[in-house]
Amino acid sequence: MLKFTRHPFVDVGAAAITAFAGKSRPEDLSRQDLDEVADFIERHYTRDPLKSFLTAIFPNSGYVQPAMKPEKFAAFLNRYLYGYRNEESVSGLRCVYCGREASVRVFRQHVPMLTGEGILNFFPRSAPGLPVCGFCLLCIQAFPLGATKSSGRTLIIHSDDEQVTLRAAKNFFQDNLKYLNMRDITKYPDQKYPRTVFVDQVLRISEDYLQGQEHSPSITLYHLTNYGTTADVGILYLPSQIVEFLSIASSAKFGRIWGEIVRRAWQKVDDARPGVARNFLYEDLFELPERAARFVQIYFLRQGFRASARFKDDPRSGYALERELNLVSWDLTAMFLREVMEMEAERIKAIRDLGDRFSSYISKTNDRRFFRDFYRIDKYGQLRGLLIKASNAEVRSGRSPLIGFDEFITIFEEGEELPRIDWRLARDLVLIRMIERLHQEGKMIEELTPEEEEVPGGEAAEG
Amino acid sequence: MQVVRVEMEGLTTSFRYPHFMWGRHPTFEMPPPATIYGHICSAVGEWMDPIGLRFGYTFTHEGKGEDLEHVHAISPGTGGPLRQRKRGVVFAEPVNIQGNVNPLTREFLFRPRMTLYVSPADLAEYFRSPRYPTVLGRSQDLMSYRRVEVVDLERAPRAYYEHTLLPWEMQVRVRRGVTVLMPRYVDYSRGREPAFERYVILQNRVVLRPVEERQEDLDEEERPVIRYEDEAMLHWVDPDSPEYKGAKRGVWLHGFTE
Repeated sequence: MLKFTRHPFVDVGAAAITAFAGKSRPEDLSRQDLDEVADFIERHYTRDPLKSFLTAIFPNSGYVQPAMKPEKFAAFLNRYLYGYRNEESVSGLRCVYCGREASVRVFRQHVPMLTGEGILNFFPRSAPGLPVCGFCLLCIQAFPLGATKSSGRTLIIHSDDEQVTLRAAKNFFQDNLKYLNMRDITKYPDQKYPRTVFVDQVLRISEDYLQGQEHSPSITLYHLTNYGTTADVGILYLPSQIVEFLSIASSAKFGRIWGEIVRRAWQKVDDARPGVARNFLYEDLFELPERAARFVQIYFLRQGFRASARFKDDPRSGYALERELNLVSWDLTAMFLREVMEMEAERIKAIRDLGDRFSSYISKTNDRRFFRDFYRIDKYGQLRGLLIKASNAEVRSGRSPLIGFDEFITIFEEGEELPRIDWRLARDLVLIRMIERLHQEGKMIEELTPEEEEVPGGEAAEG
Repeated sequence: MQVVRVEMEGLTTSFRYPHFMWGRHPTFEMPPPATIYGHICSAVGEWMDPIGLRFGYTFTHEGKGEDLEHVHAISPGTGGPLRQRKRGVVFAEPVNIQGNVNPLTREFLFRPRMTLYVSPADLAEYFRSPRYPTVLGRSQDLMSYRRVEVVDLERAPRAYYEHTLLPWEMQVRVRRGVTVLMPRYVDYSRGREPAFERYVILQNRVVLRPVEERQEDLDEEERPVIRYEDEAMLHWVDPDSPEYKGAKRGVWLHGFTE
């Protein structure tokens, strides 16, 4: 009867009904399960707190129209909620979602983001309305049960992995049940910061499901309102590589450090948690890979971030390398480079080897000035000059140069004397490896770092 | 395999999600197959039989923006004569369609560029002299063909893919990208009945290589970037594309009906 169709509203609805019935798959649902969920919808959609929430999903529908006469309301329910019981059909047309015979044409009050009744645009044959079968229509009526309210809109999570869709809908459904069982609640709770809510859900699903999978799915957030003249939809993707990165970062190997990095990215407010506060790291994930260099500098190199004045409670402005050395991890950074930035293994290895060599050099010579200059460099010419000078000094002392020609090209240049566009990123990555090694050897980094914390290269500035 | 290779560019384009009709029209990041089918038919000048027709592409743009777009929302008329009392205008003819102007937010892609591969190659003459104006996306999204050639795609055991659309089944192999449900084909012989399919939008470069070649050069703790076990798998590659790690750019040829 019910099945996943790959359309977000239908799939989330099917998942919510599956959670309602306590089953594992939509295919396992019985006719009795459908009757029970339809009865539940009839009882709860017409009263608060769900009723007020539904005005932004199904405006002008029978659920939210107090003036609708009883006989008209009964006809509305019979056609659009209990439509799966009927034998009606729209002659010759198939359901656009599942391909079964369509039973009714639907409009904006039945399916969000469609046109209102009678409008011909976007439909073939000058026949307004979308042909849909009773089963898919029941799923669409049920999808708010597997959704949450966020910033005044409806938030749903959908994935090409059906288990992810099921688990997200189940989590939201269980929250919704709690609200519905509270006597005093008249208004549906609103969760702030949809991006944070989204990533928090993905991490919850990662913990008990994704980490056991061989490959990661792509996951999509739909954040929509169907209300009046302000109808709108926002679509956010977490591509497979970001989901994979989150799964590995949360695993046992990186879990302690990653957990602490995430904890320190929460907005500085009382009771910082999803739905109440934003997590800046979560929100910055959606800027990847475009702003990966900034991400590395802030979260892996722990550089203070000059936040915009409107975010006075942004914790990133308080990041300081010398206080957070235990959060600097080359392995975690290298995994980020591999999974998110798709950096070639050869370049990652070259950067790591260079960081090892520089840290050995500093450890051996206690050349604090080299460390400070490398840390502070802002211009590419300064970088070249510094490395040439230090290498020459090593050669004069009868040792190998600090960096070889081929190595320099691999890490910092596109071609001879043509700096890579991400040379600052490469410098930061070498720093991460150096700092980790020096810290492990017990070197006092606070003595090596500049007195006033400065942002190397200015990448972390708001911009 | 001989195919037509068409290089084109334009100023804007937009590929509407078909199920989001009101309020905002978000755009797909790449053209859906049904859009490509329409584009090919526009060049040819008639609705072609989709069976046997295949396409592949690389598609890039320079950014996404949004605009307010007027939609003339039309509905059936009353059938009676149109009267405008204030101006005293009366049209005796019955109104069969009426409409209102509504502003909707429309996302668009800036400076789209596409290299389109189409099989069979004998369609080349239509792309050299297209029957209808060359557009991609909306009717106002004019495109310019910069080059039309017939090229021989070659078979190769390794290939790289980037800025392209792959069948969803490839998601487990590339382990990258975003899954989207797109209109695959709109059947004009059956009242524009749509067929949908899942695809992977792949932006970043991914190299596909046979299983025996994988990860000798990677550390033990590193996951293989790409793997697949079907050693007999061969890719269609564009021989004129730049070489990367011993591979040429792969061209995944999709069908519209299968």
